Amino acid sequence: MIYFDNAATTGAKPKAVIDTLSKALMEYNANPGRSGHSLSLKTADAIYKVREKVASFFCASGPERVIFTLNCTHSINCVLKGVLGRGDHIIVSSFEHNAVMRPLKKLRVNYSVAAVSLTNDEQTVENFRKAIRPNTRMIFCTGASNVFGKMLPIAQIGKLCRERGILFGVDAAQIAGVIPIDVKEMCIDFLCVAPHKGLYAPMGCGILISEKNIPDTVLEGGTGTNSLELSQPEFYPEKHESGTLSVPIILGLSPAIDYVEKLGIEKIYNHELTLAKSVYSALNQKEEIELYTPEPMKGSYAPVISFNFKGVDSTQTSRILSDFGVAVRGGLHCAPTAHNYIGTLGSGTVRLSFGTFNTSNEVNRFKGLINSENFSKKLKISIE
Amino acid sequence: MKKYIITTGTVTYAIKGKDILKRNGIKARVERIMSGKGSSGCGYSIIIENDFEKALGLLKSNGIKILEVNEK
Repeated sequence: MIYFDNAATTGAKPKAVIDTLSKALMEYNANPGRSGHSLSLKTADAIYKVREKVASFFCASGPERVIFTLNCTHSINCVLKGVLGRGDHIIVSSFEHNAVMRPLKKLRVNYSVAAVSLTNDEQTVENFRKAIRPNTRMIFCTGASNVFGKMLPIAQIGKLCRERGILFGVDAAQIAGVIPIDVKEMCIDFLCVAPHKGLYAPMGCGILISEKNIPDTVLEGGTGTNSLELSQPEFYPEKHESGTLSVPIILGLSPAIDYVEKLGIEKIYNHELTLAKSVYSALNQKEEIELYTPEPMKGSYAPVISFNFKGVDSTQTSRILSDFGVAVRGGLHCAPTAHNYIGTLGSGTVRLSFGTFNTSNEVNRFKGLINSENFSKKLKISIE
Repeated sequence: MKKYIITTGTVTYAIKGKDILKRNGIKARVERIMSGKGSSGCGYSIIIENDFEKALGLLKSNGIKILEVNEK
């Protein structure tokens, strides 16, 4: 199979990650932060070391600001539901995933959508600026669209927030491990990460870097401390980590980060973007294909491309590609806001997204496939 | 030998504190405890046997919240 669905999760994980999962189940099979025996303390120590590594990777102010959640969506829910209150206003971008839009709908909070320019980052920042109101509590935006790949100018947006005394949250699902993220430099108060994507970690946990305190919790329960008190303790990170942690998954984060650091983020980004540009160029030559963004350029786009064969439903195209051994995602990608903004709400799009394990050979095979008679025949049949 | 029990609450702060002390040449370990009078129940402590004043200073200057200190 040619796996071009890395925006959903990276299709291959480094061997060291897989080995760590196995080792964790055998040697760290105790609940950290609950008991006092040596195995529990050893596991707690190992988890703490991962917090240190994550904090260092994102330049957080300390390991205690690293919160492990169920997934990136959970991290986003923690921020939005924990911070926003009655009367607050929030600004989001026109490319947000349902992980942002659905909590906002549930909260019934007042929000504005700032349009993201596909070609002019200054215009994007200006759109966020114009949307600010006296009661704006937070700007929360994606680092890059999971559908169209457009990266937002988060450092400039962060600077704007700092100048205006507004909190800044980022959905880093598509950018962690793709571009360097320094929460201090970028003025990010809350960073929500999906480690199983660009960090090549196993699925099963999310990261929330919380540089500012989140007043309220979305999950209360046992934290292993202050048990006599029925109120949730205020200590970080345990305040937002009720219940048992996904210990093997979290321990798997450590070799995953090592993998990314060893390869180098710039090298990873260049490799993936080169593949994306090559595919974009090939798609752009075909009259029967519709593309929705300019050619992905370095610094402006994540390695994600959306397209459609004209007149063909995107899930149908994806199914046919899967029959030919190419894994992509068709449909709305849990981001109707993005599709509505670009104008693809009716059709959805076929999304290609690249990872470190993808090769130029795979890209060439894909190009050959979409130009083949066999493929065209199947596509034609699907239209009729 | 006298030991000092410095209660930090959570295991994260206890381990952070232990690591800070160790980096500064003070032997320390983490233990789970039931906190003393007036406390809110169980938690974690840093146990040291020497350099108590220096240890306290290091922990406070590194933002480790100390809930309780006991001697044994």
